[in-house]
Amino acid sequence: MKNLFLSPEKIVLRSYQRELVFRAVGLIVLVTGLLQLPILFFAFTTWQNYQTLTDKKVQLVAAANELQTKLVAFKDTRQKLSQIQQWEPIIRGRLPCSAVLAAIEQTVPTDAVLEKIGIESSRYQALPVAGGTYRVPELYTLSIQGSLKFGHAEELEAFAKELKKHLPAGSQVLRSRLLEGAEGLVPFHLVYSIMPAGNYSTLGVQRIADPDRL
Amino acid sequence: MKFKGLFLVAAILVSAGLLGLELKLLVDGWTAAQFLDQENKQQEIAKNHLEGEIEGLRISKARIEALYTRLSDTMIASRGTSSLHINSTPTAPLTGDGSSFEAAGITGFTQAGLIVQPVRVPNGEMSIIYEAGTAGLEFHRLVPLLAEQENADLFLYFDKVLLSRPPNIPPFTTEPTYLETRLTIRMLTGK
Repeated sequence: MKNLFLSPEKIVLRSYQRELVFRAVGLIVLVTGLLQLPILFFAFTTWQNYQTLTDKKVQLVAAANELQTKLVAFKDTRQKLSQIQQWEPIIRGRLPCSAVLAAIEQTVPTDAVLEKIGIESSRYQALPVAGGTYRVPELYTLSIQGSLKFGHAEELEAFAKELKKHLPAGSQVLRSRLLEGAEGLVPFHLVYSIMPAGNYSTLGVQRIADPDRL
Repeated sequence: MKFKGLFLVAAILVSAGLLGLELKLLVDGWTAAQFLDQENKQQEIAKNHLEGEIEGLRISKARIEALYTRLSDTMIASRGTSSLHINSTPTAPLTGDGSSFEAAGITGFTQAGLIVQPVRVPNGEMSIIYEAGTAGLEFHRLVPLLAEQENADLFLYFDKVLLSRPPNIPPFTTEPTYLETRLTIRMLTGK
């Protein structure tokens, strides 16, 4: 005899097994459960990474403290270096006038005679120094007046070019002019603008920071 | 039917909530790790910089100290009276009131025969300024003098150098030419 009786538990169980809603819920639970695996994996790796980074941070802080302690020993040298750096623009901005005069002496043609040489600084910038300021020029003007022997006037251009080669980079010829003269001489007037850029090697000047060769 | 719907919605909400919370925690952890990593990188850069600085200071200590000594030694200590007594033969005494206020830096010029006159210093400038002149030096003596003074005091500025051949000396003369020299000299002073 066929037993047609279904207990309420069986009905509920069948309902859970077969109905779409419950199947969907089951699927959601299953997917959520499966997603726990990668989540746990990433959580573990992140935690491990964080721990490693924390350890590294501790090491770096310890190393930084150690270096700070070492640096204390160089406090005096650091202060001196900082003072030198403060002075640097003052030294850079100084045009070695003696070297400019020597360059003129070396380049002046044999058929020329000089009457006036003028070097004048202008456009000052006040730099802070201990206790006040110190003016540093941003421009120098070199003015040369002289005369060439009659028939050698073309030497002025060569002289102007040769002297420019000796002057610091950025120097410009502002004026190179032959004037009317007498007594077999051709007067000339040369004017240069010189920017004191700190590199005076073309003038044959040794860098201050270089060790003395003597 | 109502129960089923509620059950489904609740399941979705619980699942989404759980996953959302877990993802948020993961993202927070990852962000914290990234932040820490960035901090560590900055710390490492700072450490390398500091190491480089210490190494540089260690290697260059002697040079820095020598350069500092060279630079600071050339600076004029103050505008007070000098202990120098200039008495060499070609020396012209300082003119004006400042004769007893001669700074060490100007000695070379006075000893070479230049007449030196102090000039008013602009307010706030840590310098001493002199105007110097002579008509007794030839070019080949003047240039080494200027070079010597420039080398002796690295803060010495020639604001103006004016050399001219006296009008009574003819061009291309073989006789010694004593140039008319005018200088404006400026030197940095200490406190």
